[in-house]
Amino acid sequence: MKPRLLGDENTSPKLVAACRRLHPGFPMVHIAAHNQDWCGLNDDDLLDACLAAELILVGHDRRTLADAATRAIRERGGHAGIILFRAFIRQADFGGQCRALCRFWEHSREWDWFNRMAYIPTDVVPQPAAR
Amino acid sequence: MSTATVSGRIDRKIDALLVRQTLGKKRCQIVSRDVTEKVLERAYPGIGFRDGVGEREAYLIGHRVAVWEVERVFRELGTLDKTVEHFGLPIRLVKRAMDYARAFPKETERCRMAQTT
Repeated sequence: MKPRLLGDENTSPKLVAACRRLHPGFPMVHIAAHNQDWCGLNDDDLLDACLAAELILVGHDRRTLADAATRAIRERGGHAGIILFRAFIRQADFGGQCRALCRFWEHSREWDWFNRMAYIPTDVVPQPAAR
Repeated sequence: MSTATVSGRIDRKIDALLVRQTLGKKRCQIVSRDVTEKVLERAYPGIGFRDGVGEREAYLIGHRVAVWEVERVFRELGTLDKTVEHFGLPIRLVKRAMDYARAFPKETERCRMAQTT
């Protein structure tokens, strides 16, 4: 299955394994497994690379990635989507991250993720109907 | 913070480049920052500096992980081995990040607070 989610380097590779244990075939890959060269990219370049590869970035950097997302939308071709863990989810708690991400993805995988950013865990808001 | 004054001379071509890079700041501020970061990079090989939230932050060169993130995970997990396993990074890099975090705890805490609150 083609991956749709990319775990940023500040997430643990264990998060991907945990998601796949919970949902076999979960479409997520860790950045180090996807492309080692991407580990050295800054936020702007990584968002551009994700856009080209149609990958939604999953990470913890709420402030810097939010700023980079704004720059991507205003100055370049936008971004392919970002999912960020809320501050109360501990960075080492990949079990909690896994549950939050899998639950959220069940409802959001069909969304149009272009230029969309979501914070999880969250109450799931239905996608507005297309006009 | 106590400071020391150091004077030096640079090539005019470098000075012209420096003027273009200051972006409204004083040249002396940029020189001070650059010298500080270069000295720290030599003292802690593998550690670099990048723009963070509101200020510069230390990070692991060649990776997207900031020093404050390594320190936070270390604090959550309690051991170096578990921290290494969490990030999947070479142990020498994680050790270097922890050395830096221990040497500059206030700066590390400031970066963590800026990103997480």
